[in-house]
Amino acid sequence: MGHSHTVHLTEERYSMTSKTRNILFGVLALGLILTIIGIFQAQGAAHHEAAEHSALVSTETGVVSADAAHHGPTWVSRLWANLLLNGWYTLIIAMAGTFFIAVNYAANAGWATGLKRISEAMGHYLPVGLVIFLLIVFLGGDSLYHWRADGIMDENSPNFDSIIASKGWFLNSAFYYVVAPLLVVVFYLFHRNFTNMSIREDKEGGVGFFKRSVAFSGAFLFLFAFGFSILSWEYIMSVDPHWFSTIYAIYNFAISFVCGMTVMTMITLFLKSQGYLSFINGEHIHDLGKFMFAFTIFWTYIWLAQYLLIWYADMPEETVYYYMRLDGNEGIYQFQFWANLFLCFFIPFLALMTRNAKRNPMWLYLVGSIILIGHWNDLYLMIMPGVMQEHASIGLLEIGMPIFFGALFVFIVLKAFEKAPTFPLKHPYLEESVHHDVGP
Amino acid sequence: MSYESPIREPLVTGGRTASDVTAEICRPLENKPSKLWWLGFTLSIVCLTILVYTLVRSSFEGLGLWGINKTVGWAWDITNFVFWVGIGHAGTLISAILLLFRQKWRMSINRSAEAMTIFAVFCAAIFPLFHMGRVWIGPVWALPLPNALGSLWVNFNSPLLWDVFAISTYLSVSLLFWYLGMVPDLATIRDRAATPIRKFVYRFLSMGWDGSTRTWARYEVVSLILAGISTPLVLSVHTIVSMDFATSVIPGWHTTIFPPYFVAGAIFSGFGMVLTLLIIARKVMGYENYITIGHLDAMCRVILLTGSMVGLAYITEFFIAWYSGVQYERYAFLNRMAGPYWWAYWSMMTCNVISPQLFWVKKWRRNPNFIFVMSIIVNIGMWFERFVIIVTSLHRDYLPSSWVMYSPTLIEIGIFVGTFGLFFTCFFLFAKFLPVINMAEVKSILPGKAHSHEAEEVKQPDLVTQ
Repeated sequence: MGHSHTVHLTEERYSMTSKTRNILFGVLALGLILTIIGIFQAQGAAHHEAAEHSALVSTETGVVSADAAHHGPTWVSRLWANLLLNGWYTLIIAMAGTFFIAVNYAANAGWATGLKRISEAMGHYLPVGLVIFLLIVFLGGDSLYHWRADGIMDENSPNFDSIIASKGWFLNSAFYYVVAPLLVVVFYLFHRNFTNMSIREDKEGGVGFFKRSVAFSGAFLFLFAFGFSILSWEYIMSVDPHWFSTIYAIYNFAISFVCGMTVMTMITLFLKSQGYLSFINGEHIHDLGKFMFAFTIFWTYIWLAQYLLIWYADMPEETVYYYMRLDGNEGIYQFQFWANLFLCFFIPFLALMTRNAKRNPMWLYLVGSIILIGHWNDLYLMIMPGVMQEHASIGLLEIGMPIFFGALFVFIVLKAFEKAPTFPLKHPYLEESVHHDVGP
Repeated sequence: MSYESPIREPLVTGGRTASDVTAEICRPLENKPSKLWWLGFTLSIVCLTILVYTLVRSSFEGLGLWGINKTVGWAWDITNFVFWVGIGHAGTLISAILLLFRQKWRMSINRSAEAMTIFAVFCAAIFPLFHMGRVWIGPVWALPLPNALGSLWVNFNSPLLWDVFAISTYLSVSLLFWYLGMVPDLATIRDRAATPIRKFVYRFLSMGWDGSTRTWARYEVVSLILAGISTPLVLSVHTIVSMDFATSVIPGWHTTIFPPYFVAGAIFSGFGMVLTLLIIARKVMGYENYITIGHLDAMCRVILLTGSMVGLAYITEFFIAWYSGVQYERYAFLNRMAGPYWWAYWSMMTCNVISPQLFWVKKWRRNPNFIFVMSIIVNIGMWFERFVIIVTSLHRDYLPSSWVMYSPTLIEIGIFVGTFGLFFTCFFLFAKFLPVINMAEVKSILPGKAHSHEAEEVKQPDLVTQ
């Protein structure tokens, strides 16, 4: 039954138009230029602040400390912090691609089969993203992570911090240089395996690849849950090395998935506007919109679980995290902290509530952009207070770099999308996806 | 209309037709109960009697009959409260969240799972009510009544009060959802009724259902609205239960992962109980064609998923306790693993984390006897989880001079056993007098239906994409 349907679908391949390429290169260049101007701007601002600081020191003590400017975070740390933010952001969005493939196999879901190549293409950013990310943390680690400072775990050093020293079994080079990077490599190997099987399925057909993919999905999801936790603790939570929260990894996962689904929706809409994937209709788009909506709520649930419980118990070692984002650090993060709730929750929640909203491409682009900006801001609030304390600000650097990373991500994903037919030709659930109709 | 891939398992097997569905599902209602039913029902009534006896004594003689003391102020009661509330999560999850995820396999199990939810919430409510000591006034204390009415204004800052709101809302919405879904089936029973009493009772219960298109349309709208309301409710109930602990400053309780982790655990235990009940029910009542091996397989996957999520949460908690460097946190977890209650901790780990991993093997996910044993292990494990969290964190508090041990008295054990009596008494009555499977919904997923849609699909011209 049902085999005769496949004849209706013709294989199609995406090829990036020169217009798309030029626009992407243009945006990439714009992002790069803004970033470079931003670096100079940041340098200037840092010198200005340092000069002010030394002036203050000299009037108080009469001695100008030569290295006064080197004690606090500098423009270099600001650059690294921005790189960490955008590197991590794009990396976890790419992971959401692999995650989405695995979840659909494991849940035996058919509706998204027509979108599978898009999630495959998103996962192909993983190797590029990993290299960039590792360059950032390996080269910039000393600026980013206070726990990597000299002698911080050495009892005889003046730098000694007993709390950080008690974390030496996890915050160490073995995890930092070997275990955590290897986890991403393993994720990518799984991703390669999924995509290779999918390509072979296109040629050979049968349900064998499907069944093997289901088995691999189970293994991937299991490893991903633990691996993703370790990654988010090692590279992001340790930015605030004294602080800890058990929900932190899930919080990062929530960002990864809601943004992953948002990016996937936007890429789908873009490809449809280019004339590809014509069988993807309002029903699919509606379902993608539901995912954006549902995981916006999920993120809020996780946000609230962390905020409410820490606020309620009011224990100094935990509350400091929110103090530093509200009244602390001269209050510079306060506006962004509350704006975050609007960008990541109230606006998308209200904007995506109705059925029509989830089926309107322009509206989805708009709300999707708000979600993506919102979670950039979310990550900003997770990273900057730890690295920059009260010295953070939003300049051209903060604006240019996400533009650069975004264009790079989209370019690599679309290039990867070119390499295979736009939908899995012989996936056993392809027909279900083509005939996806939920009813009124 | 949707298309279904040929590699999907049919949801109803044995070539059942719509009239078979009606006949088979109405059979237990329209015939005298079997000996097995009487045996089970009698046993449940005996346990229920124990519940009445122990509760009456606890009320008249006071909570001195319980094993609680000044360090461990709540133990057995709150453990059992969380245990039963957790079990009460599967029903609404199946009917609301799986509805949103368009999982059609839920249709033959939602009715009994929802019934189970409601009975489990009854059982759960007993524990906090009787822990208030004076049960005749306790429920009044829990309501936000002004001081002028002789009660003290409730503490809105307390998650225990949030519990009152969350659970009572959950119970009322679940009851509504369950009952509403049953109305079309009650009308079917009414129409088939042979005796005047049966006709009268089911006519009353089916609220004048006439099966017209307009009635069905309204029914569907209300179902969707209730599903929308229930979804956040399911999550909120155990979230708030977790906050009973997590808002405190007790090591091992105050941890931010508690809300999602408790919800995962609740779904885990709920599915454990659904499996325990349905594996018996499908066998005894002959419903193997409706609650198929495929259904059991799907539920085992949910068990595997939620069990692994719970496992991830255990490991995360332990990791962060160590990472935090806070000595109280570290001690709380060491004490769980190697303290005097080590056996409870390791029972929990074995039952909740290690044993569900056996469900990776497909053969075992499709073996009802194996699943039955596993479902009981899951229930035991989840009971121990609550016991471990509650008792190990309390019994060694900040002041070593108040360190004590806790063990339940016979009365407390009696109350717990008694709640099983209440639960099963309700369930046996449900199985006798109400349709255990949603006939109307199951008829919509009979395999024949899919074929006819498929035939329509082939003719659609818009499939050609290029």
